[in-house]
Amino acid sequence: MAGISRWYFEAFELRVPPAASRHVVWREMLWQILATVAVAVGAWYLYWRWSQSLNMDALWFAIPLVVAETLSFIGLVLMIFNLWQVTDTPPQPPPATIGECEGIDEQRPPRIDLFVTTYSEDPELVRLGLEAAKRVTYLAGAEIKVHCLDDGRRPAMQRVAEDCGANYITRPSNEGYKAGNLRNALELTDGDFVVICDADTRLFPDILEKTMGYFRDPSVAWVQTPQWFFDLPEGRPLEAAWGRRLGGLGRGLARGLQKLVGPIRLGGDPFDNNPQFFFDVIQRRRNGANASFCCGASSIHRREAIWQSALRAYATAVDRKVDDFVKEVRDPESRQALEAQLRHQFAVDEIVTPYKFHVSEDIYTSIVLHGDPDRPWRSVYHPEVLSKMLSPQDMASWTVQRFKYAAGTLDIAVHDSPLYRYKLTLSQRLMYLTTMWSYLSSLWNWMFLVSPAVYLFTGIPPITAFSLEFFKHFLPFVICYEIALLVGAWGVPNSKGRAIFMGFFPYGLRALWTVLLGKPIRFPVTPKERQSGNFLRLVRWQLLVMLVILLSIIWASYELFYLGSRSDESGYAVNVLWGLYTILLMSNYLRAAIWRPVETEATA
Amino acid sequence: MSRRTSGWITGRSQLAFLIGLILASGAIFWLEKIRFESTDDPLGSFWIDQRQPPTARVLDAGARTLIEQWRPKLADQVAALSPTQYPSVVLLAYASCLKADAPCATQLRPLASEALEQVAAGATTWPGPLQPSLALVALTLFERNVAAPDPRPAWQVVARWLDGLDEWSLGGLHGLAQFISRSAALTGNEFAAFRSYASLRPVLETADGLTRLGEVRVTDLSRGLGLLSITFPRSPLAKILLWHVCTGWPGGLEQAPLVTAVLCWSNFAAPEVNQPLATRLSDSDLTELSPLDTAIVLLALTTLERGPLLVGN
Repeated sequence: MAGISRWYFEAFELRVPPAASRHVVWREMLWQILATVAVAVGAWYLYWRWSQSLNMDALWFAIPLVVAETLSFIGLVLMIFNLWQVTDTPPQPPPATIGECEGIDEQRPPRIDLFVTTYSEDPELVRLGLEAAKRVTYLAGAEIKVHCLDDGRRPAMQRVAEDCGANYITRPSNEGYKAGNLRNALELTDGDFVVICDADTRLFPDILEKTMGYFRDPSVAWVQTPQWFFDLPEGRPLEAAWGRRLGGLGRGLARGLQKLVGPIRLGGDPFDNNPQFFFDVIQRRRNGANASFCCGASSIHRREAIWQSALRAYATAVDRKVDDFVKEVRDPESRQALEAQLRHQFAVDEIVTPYKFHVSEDIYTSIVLHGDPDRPWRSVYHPEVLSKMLSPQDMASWTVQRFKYAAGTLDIAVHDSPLYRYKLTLSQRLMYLTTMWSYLSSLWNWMFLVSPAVYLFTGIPPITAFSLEFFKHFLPFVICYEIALLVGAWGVPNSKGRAIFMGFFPYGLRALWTVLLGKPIRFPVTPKERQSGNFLRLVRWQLLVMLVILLSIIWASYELFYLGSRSDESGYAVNVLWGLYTILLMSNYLRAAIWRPVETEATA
Repeated sequence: MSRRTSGWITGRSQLAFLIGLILASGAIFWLEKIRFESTDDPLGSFWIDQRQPPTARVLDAGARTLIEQWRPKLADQVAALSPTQYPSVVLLAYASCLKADAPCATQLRPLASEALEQVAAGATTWPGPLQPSLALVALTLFERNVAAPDPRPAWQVVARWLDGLDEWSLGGLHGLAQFISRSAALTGNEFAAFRSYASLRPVLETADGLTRLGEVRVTDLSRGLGLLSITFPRSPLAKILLWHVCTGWPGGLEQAPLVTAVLCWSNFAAPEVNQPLATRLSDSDLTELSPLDTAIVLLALTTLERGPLLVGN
């Protein structure tokens, strides 16, 4: 473990991952009942919104808001479909021979390649991943090889790889980035299975023993395990923080407050990096529909599936290109001659991409494998954490990572949509649509943020009145959905995730704009070390929303209480509360931008 | 060949979905039934501060002159209409003349008979729920008046049509919904949700509620409240709310459509109405009225002479 004392995450090394949430049948049924009620009551609310509540004299305001609500409701229905039920794949004993995985009579033990990809990360950081990979075990006789895939062509990295007893692989260019790096390694290795790790991934020794059994089903192409960021800052208890500033009084106040609202910690992870909701709730519940997608690191792949699908995609791409050229040639002989010539040419030009050369290569490759027209592959989501890794530790890294996710997914949605391009089941299409819809939501989420300010400044409501009729329709829907989600994701926190989701619109819109203009999506590697600097610039739009809402509240209060020029107390109250809630949501971005780790967790 | 995952949703999940749907239907049904303040205040009127309507207009010389000038013109306009196209207008206009015992009753009787036959034959396509409601109140008057043709076959047809009306479809018809509901109550099948005036609160209680409602819907509101006042006995709340509309008309009552102006004038004699309407009524061109409004104005004039349509004979 040379050099570990350098790292800020040294203090977290002994942390243990959270267990996968327990599947409780009665709770799942309760969630499903509540979710159904929420959808039905939500539809009733929307019917009322469209048919009876629009302010006909301010359609410029009323229509965009009700459209935003409708689109948001569609997203909610898709999310409920996604979270509908847990269907774990029953674990199987690990296969001792490759024959048990291929359905053939071959008795040799399986060969497994562990790929640790890197580009510019500190070689000492990668060393930790390589050492962890070397400790991975499997049944006697199995051949496990660790490979360091360095796209940085760095001698220092090569030395570290050799130090660790890993095979060092590099290439002359960075074509295809991570996907190209993986393709290069696949060409130079011959394992039956491949484990993909990022530079900061540290596999647990038993990852293969717990996951290889799923490959007994010859249709399983990959197994994804949850990613666990073991370095998430937990923050400091409120008593300690307030006690330090205010002494005994502060500690007393902190205790009193926590008696009311539960434990509070300050300085914790402000980025909502905790992927537990995504993996343990979203990904896990896609498993039943065979729609859990690959997330890159900590996944195990069947080489045959990757190559077979890639070669089929290659042949299809060549055919398509040839067809595009020859379809207008009428003379059969000329067409045949041209076809032969072009096929050769295109076969040389086209490249085989086991992992799609794309900014979101993992989800893209998943779509290709799930939707393979001749041999649709299966994926398995294994719910137990079997590796650990590092989270983005500053606003810049976080923004780059989330922008990449958004732009990559939207690019697939726009240019190669799984909704109609692949042979997927309806459930799979809906699951992929859920992911795409969540990134499209930046198009309408901003309406919810600016609406209170518009009302408070102008006094023009988007609905006929903020009356009891409004609350009668709105509250049952919201309350029912909140309770449903609480039950459905029992024990897995997600409140910060939703705040981040609402404020994501500047990055989401930028991602969409980039995709629609056909600009290249920048592919900077997510920094694995803390960056320092002032990140307020990155959250300027969220700050602007906060400022505008604050001004609108001041203005409306002045009109109501001082000038007496408005008499809409109920509308004022609703929109002030809505505005304050929005400020609270946006403040998460402000906190993230100015966040610094607390001293006890700082780099040693 | 790999196993495609279809039918992955378990029977237990499907059962939960069904239970959810049943619960949601019950919840929606129950929520739809909730009318705030319905127990203590079935008419949803607790929010009305000023509960005393202003002085009612009496039939003075000026009013008599106006009636004498307008009624023949309005009757002529109705007489020019096709009874098959405008049955409710013809029936309401005839009912007004009949109630007033005016010569136009004789003039409109053949048309009314024709309209009655058509309605009784079920051959009428109503453009909305207001027209059959107007026809129903007219037919109800005929039933009480020996001089009128037999309305019963037509009454049954209209009553059945109103029975089949979806209560939800009245949402958003401010004022008109209350009139339609009260008209339907003549058949014994009232739309209970719209007995109450609570839904008008957001419009009438806030300073700019009428402005926000927009001219078309605020005119409908005045039609609905006005019709309640001039058709049914004991409609003080409708009158009070009509007063709110008359005095709060965006831009002043002189800007209001003629039908609203007449409804305000015929119901109230307060200066807030007299002043702006002094020239508005004398300069009016009656041909600007739609067929429906022609019949409503005719009824308003009759009410001034004889009281609401369904009071007395």
